[in-house]
Amino acid sequence: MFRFLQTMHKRLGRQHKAQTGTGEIEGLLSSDMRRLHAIDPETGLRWQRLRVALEAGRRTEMPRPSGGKIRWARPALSFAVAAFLLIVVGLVWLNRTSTMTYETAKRQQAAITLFDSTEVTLNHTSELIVERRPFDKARRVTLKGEAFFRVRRNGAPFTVLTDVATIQVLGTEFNVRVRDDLLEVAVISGNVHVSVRKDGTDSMVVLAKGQMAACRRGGFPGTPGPLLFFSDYPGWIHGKFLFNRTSIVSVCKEIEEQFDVVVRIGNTRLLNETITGALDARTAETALAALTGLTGNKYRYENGVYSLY
Amino acid sequence: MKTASILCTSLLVLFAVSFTGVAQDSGARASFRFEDMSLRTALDSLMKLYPFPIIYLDTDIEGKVVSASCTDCRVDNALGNLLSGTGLTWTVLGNQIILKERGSEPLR
Repeated sequence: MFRFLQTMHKRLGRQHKAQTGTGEIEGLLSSDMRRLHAIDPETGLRWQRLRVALEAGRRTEMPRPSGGKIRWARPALSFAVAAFLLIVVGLVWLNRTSTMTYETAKRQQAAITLFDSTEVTLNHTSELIVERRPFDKARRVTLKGEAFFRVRRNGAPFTVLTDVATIQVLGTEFNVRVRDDLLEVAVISGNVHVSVRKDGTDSMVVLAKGQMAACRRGGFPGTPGPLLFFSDYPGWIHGKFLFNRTSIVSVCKEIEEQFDVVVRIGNTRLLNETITGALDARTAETALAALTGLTGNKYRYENGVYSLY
Repeated sequence: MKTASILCTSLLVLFAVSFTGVAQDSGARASFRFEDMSLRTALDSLMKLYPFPIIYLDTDIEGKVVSASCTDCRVDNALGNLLSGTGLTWTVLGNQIILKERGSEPLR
């Protein structure tokens, strides 16, 4: 208790001394002010003016930091708006000019409905590139492989571009097949124009219902001929292979591509034979059974390979 | 009792419809008349008339000419008439009709 009282006494003593020191300074300043006022009576007024000027300067300087931020933010905002507009314009442009690509692998088929309600059935191992917009005005697709088209008539031509030739219609049903540099176009209804431009020369044939024409890459379209097996054409839509004097080698290749299998011909006499007609193509086995039934041979399946012997 | 009779009648109708469908599919009928026509052309016509896949070796039919006619006949009668005297015969394998030379040896 005694120690506590001693400590409090010391602290109060120190504060008193400090208060005494502050009082002395204020006394000195006021005496100095009185002396300066005696020399120049306007000293106080000048001090006041200086203080007002300093305050005014402070007020004008205060907003500067925030004002600087606004100046920096404006270009950033402009950049953001410009970028946004660029993206919007880019998207619109892409939407107008970009393409849609449809692909099928082996053993696959795809049914596609285009923007104009045209129906396309894509056979195996094929690719269809469709220009997205404005599709109704210039209907244009690019085909690799085989597809069957049911084109809706809307007044605008429908064009199929291939590596070999260009096919143009208004509204019709037709099949286009491009395999191994050979184009075959067959018409189920309506009329189809098949054209080739080579070395500055244009060549075009017009196919009517029930006709077909072939064209090799680098050549011109051949004379249209009657479409065989018209009721079943195209066979792949109806689960059949349609052959017209087709070599057994090509038949086996067709089975390989359709069903993604390997077929080996072990009997060399089969290499010289050709067949005509429709082959049941529901499965690889139904097709091979019919083929070997026709030639009197047999087939076996070993290690993922069908062998004709 | 009434429910059972309705059920039986429905089953009978269903069976009749199914049976009729199969019969119509395998019993497609057509009429034709070919006079001194190449067998190839005649077969092409036949394939348009009947919904069955028919296949043949080209060497088996080359140079053969046929004359045949048939009225409202099924595909088996049509082939019997058409191939008569050509040395060819036909067999059915599943859905597939195969034309072959009569007594032909397998290709070896």
